[in-house]
Amino acid sequence: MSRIIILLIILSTVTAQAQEPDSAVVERSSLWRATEQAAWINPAIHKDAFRQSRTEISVSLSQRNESKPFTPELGDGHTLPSLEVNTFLRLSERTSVWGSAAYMNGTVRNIKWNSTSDYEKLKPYILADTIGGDTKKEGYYFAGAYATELNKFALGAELLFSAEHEYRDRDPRMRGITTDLTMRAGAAREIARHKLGLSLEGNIYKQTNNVDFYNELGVSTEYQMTGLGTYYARFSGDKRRLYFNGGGLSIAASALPVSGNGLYADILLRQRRYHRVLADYNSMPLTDIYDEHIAANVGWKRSANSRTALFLHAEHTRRSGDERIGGKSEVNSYPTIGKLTMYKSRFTDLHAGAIYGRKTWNTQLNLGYVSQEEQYAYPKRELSAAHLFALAKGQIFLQPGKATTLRIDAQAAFYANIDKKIDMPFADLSIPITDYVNHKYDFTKAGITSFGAGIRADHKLKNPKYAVFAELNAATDISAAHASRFLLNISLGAAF
Amino acid sequence: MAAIMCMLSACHKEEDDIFAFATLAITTDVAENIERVQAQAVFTNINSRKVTTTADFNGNTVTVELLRGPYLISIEGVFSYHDNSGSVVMHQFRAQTDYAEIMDKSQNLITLKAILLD
Repeated sequence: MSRIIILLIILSTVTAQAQEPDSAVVERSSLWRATEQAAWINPAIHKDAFRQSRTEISVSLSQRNESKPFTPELGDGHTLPSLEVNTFLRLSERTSVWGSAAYMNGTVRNIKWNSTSDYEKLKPYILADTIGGDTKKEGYYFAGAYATELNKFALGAELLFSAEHEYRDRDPRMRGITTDLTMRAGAAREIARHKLGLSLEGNIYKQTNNVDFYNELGVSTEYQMTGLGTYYARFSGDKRRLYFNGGGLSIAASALPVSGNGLYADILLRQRRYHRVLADYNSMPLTDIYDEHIAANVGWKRSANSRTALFLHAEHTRRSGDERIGGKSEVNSYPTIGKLTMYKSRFTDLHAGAIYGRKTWNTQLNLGYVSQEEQYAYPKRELSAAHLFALAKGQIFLQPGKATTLRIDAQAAFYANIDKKIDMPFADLSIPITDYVNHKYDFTKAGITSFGAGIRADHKLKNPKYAVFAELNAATDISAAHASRFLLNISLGAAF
Repeated sequence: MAAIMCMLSACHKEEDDIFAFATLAITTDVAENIERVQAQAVFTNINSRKVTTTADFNGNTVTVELLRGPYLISIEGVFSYHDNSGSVVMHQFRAQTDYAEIMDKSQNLITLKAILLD
């Protein structure tokens, strides 16, 4: 600990003697901005996120390798190159526009127990098989926003769109085509030395999903998964064409001190629902998953020569899933005669945090508790785990040359298991399902130790309006389930 | 705010009453009252393929708690009754239905007519 303090003192002395780093770079990546980032979901607040306009064009590579898959449904690695443009323009003191466009094309490796795209959104109601394999993934992402001030109100609107195509070119040939549209509108006003904001978000989601087999010798069973290794047996097997429809609403409110000093708070409520529909049998509905999420931050911050922020974060996500009861077959369709809420899951994250730093360096420490729990009603299945965690981050901005700004980040985290439970009818489970459930439990309960580091260099060209940059971030997660994960992100780009 | 969310998007009503009691009654044309049944009834949930078996008959009925849903029910065994002369008559039988809805949250009555095997 004393070595870290000495290092920070040396680095802060060096940076104090050096010239000021590029402020447009600092304001976009400073850890200090974490105190207000949650409020940026409101475009009327996001309007004032940066003082300086900046557009960045970059090519990036995201690489992930896992010795054993942490989540088999997401594969044990990926290589995802992308091309991205991000812009934020302050048209005047009162008006800002911002947006982004990106194209990604790469490979996700060794996916198992999942033949559907967007697993994190739709889990556990996905199509799955025991074979799996690599998938190719291509995505297009667009976003645009406009915010201005009218009288004493700031008003803003934002639109985000993504379209992805994921497929496998060998059996089982899964294909998922997704579209996701999010629209946000928000307002903000200064009252009692705070900027109060309120925003509303609507989301529409669709996916067309199917699995084909070209091999004449046989096909594998595609399971309509229903959580914790259960599946809808009646419509599993050869029913391999699905639609997912969904979306929902979010409401967010925030209060930020206008001076940058004082109490701040924000809250987000989000509701999403996704329906799984068989393309066969006259579009028979199979399952519905409901996701309710609440997240809140309350904090105090003070920014002078030094910066201090203390905050509390609470977050809870509750998912519940209904299985539609298919009735008697009538002219190639099955009426829904009822529904049963069979699946429930909960995720909780409670932590306290502190940020301390100066203009050119920041440190952050979070201490907290996370828990997750999944239940299936009958035959009863339950899996849960809870961890205490500590997360430490450090960041420094340097200016080694007149035109160069260097940012160095480092972080470490430790998750210690304090509670775990599994309750499964193992005697009734097949060997593949038993292995799947045990793997899931091993990785859910396991403690994790993480280390990460990053470096970014921004170099202004002769015309200081233009700059080039290079960024490298690497992290490793070591799981107590005797597995490790390595993450690497490289970006090269230009800014103006 | 949660109330506003519910108004805008209709709250999700969970259906946690997932079980129902089903009473299976065996009837026959050869007797007005079956007095005793010794048989194994098999309830197969058509959606989950989960099988529940019972032989706990009381007279000509058996009651079992099941996950609500559509069922395939089959039964095979022996029933007995007293004929007009007062003698005990026994018959081997089987009965089956390939679709019975057990959806009512309180009580569901399914009546199957016995097919004699002797």
